[in-house]
Amino acid sequence: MARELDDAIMHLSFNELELGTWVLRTQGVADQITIIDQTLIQHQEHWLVREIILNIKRVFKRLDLVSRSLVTLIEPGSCFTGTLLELVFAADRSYMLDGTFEGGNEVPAMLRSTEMNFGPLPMCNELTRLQTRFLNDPEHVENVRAEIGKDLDAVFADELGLVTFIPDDIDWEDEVRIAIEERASFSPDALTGMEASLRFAGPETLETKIFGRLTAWQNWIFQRPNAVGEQGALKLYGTGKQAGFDKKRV
Amino acid sequence: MIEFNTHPDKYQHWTIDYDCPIATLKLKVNEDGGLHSGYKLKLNSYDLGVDIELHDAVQRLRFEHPEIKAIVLTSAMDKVFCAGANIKMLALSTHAHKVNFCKFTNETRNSIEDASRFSGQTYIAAINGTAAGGGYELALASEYIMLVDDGSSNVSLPEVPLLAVLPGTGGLTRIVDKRKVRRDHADYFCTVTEGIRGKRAENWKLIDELVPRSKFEQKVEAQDRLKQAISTRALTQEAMLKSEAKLLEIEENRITYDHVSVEYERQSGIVNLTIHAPDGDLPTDLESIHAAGQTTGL
Repeated sequence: MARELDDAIMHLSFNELELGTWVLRTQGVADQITIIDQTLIQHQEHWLVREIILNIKRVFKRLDLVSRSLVTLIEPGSCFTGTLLELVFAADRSYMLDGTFEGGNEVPAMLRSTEMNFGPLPMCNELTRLQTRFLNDPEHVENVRAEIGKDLDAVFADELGLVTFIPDDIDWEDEVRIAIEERASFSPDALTGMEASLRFAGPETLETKIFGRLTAWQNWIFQRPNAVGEQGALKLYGTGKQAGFDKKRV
Repeated sequence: MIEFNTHPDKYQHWTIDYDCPIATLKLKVNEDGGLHSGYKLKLNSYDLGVDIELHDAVQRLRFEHPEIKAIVLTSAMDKVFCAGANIKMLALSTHAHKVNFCKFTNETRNSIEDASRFSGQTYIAAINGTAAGGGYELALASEYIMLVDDGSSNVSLPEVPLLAVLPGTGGLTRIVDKRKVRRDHADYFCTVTEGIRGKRAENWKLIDELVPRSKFEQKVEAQDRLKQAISTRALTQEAMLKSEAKLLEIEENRITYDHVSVEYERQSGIVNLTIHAPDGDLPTDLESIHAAGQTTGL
């Protein structure tokens, strides 16, 4: 799963620049994910299992860094459990259906945390996504942990602060559609800057500095005439011509 | 379309030598093997294609080579370690590609540090020539940097004076933040195109150890032994695992993998990405996890 998600993230990032909003869903049985997570935790000292966990961590870190809006939809039939629950916390926004769709015979969607949500998958600020989410109330993470392994319905997930909105069947379609359409109407650049700024609350680390400071400056410089204009140094490199700089400091 | 799946059999730019428990990753870039046309990858300079191979190698070393505890990064080219990102390639690239390239190469260097820190696979850079810009940044992602003392091998970050851009693959951050080079030394270093070599490079902590050419290989070896002694990785010869993502199908508006499906709504600019939990019996003990790894690639 992690490798496939990684490949999909890279493919979409490089090859599909105009697909600006990624809507994330899961499908399947929560117990299956619980079993996987328990197995990973139980054998986490073993080299291979350790590598599997570390790889999942890196893939989710790559997801945190994508320049795309991330919206997670939690619907009946989903399995946002443990490792996959991280997709709810990685999203810029999440919607969880309160109840079921009319006429549907599926049970309402539930969230379920496992040990994987409380340490093994830190972000590049070295905090878990839950710690980052509840930066204003670090002890609240313990309230979430108290519900570990239990199925949390939309109302309770909302109370715990795990999801953004919990529309019911009547409002779901319009609310989700309008949110996604509205997002698509905004400037992609402004969204990328906004999302990158909001996703990484908390302490600076080597990695947050590299992505939030160094490469952000680099990407600005990559747009500037002093580098890429007709007289720019990057453009003229190797031609023997002297670069001409606009001397204004910005 | 850029593809990210590769295999050592297809590598054009890297070779991996195994001498258990040490692996040596050697860079010798195929000049004509650029991902796009219009530039030659001279002097061990790289483009995204070179880095996709490096990323693949780092992943495979972790998953397929539990017996490897230390990895030496070095060059198979005479007098040149690595000249960094290819400038012509950058000049020809769209802004979006430059940004994506920069992000991907940064993520690869972070994954190298992740392997050193958490997997017991410690990276050691053996700089046997000039390491300029991204070349030195690659070395900075290692935990120990050795530089051959031959009067010409050096390290440099010449981006600011030469190209009017930054050493943006972690260079500026890692010299002060990771290696804790004094900021005034760092400032000077980042403005001299010819870089720094010899004792000064060592005194300023730009490298860890200066080694005479005659003793270079011997010293690299000695360093390896030290690192593997502290490695937490169990020495094991367990079966190899498939590391690549299992890509089933790419169509115009859809990609299908085993557990991930991706559908595009191009009109509205939306991707619907769904992860499917596996059905049926799951591996829960180490033996079945290994077996699953061999068939499905986990």
